[in-house]
Amino acid sequence: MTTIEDIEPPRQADHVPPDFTVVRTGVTAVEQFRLFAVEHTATLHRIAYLMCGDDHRAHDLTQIALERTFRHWSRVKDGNPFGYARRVLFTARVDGWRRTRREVLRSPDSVLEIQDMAGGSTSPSDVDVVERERLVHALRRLGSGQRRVVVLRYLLDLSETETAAELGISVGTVKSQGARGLARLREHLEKD
Amino acid sequence: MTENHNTWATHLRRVGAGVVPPTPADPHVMAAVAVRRTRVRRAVVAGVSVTGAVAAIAGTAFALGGSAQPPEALPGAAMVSATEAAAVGTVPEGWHVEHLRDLSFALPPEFEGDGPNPPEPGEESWTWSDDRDPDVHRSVHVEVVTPEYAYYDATAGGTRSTPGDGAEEFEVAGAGVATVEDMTEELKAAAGTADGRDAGTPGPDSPRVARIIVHPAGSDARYVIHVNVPADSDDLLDGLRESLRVG
Repeated sequence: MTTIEDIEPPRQADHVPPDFTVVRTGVTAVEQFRLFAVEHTATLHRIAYLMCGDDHRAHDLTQIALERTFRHWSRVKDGNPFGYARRVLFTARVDGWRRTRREVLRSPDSVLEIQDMAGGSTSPSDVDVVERERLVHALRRLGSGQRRVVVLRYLLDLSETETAAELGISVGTVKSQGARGLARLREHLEKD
Repeated sequence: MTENHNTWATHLRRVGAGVVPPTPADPHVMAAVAVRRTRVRRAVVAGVSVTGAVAAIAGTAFALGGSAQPPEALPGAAMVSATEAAAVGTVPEGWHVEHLRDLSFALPPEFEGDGPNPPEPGEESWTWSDDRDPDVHRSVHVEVVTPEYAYYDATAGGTRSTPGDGAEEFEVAGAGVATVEDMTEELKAAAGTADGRDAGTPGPDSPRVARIIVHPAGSDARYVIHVNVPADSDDLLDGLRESLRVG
């Protein structure tokens, strides 16, 4: 079984936000890493939240991703450190989800409460808040495999090939998991 | 792929783009935590491996030594009292002075303390490390033990507080006995184990491992210092030795 320690740095420099590049300037590794963290922590945190739908767990996962990225900084700094951190996020998340899925699932009532709050007023911002909350809730009802593919493929807009490489699965699996996941997600959202 | 599917996927992407965690993450704090935990982890792996490899001898040696007896000199060595000690405690220029209970010592400026490590061997322990290059392990782990230390026995992976083969005695102000073991076979074997290699077969890039044991005069306490530095590092161990002082 592949463990988190077996993760190799991504070979491709894809999806590194264009405003961040690791440049050798004589600064220490710690300083380089801190710059990286300042640049990418918010994005990693958001991805973690999409994946688990729990604020505290998302924070913990982001911390784990940063820690393991720093641990392997000498290997990843010249490649795609953000891609590496994101892979750590996805891999680390799975085991934790299996252990605590029941604990972090929020009652559908919480979504209904927000819907009720927005029921009296139909401003665009209220509708957006409700839709986002419903999406996070619906994502949590997907299986972990489908959820990972849906988040990467449709929410983070990676290609099928990139999604497959990120998760270490075949493109065919990405297609099937993505199609089924998207259908179930839509079903949940329309049911809610 | 249908137009309906594409429209739905586009809608999903738009909604998803607005999802943000309720509580924002502070990147400065999280980066600092990541660095600190990595430093501690490295120090723990190195320090515990070295001490664990000699734990069996440790418990036996300490038990036989008697907890209430004053420290004994190595065979053939004279006891050195604080008043007889030569002028030691020299702090190299630019180094900073640190303390653990009664022991004071100096470290290069790039070494930063990682705080007390309660799970470590010893009643109290600290680790200082230089993390400028994550690939190069440079750390100094200092712990203090007394006969009352609960895990000071062979079965619990205790700390060896008696010098091993190849130990050399040296003078420390305020110490009854101070010894240093520098790349002895025992330490090299432990370091090989720590790096995942077979015990006793350290690789060409193995770190330089050394252990300093300081027995304060008139006390049962013993300070154990583990030094892990690159093989070509001489200055750190020499400077550390010269800066030691008890009391």
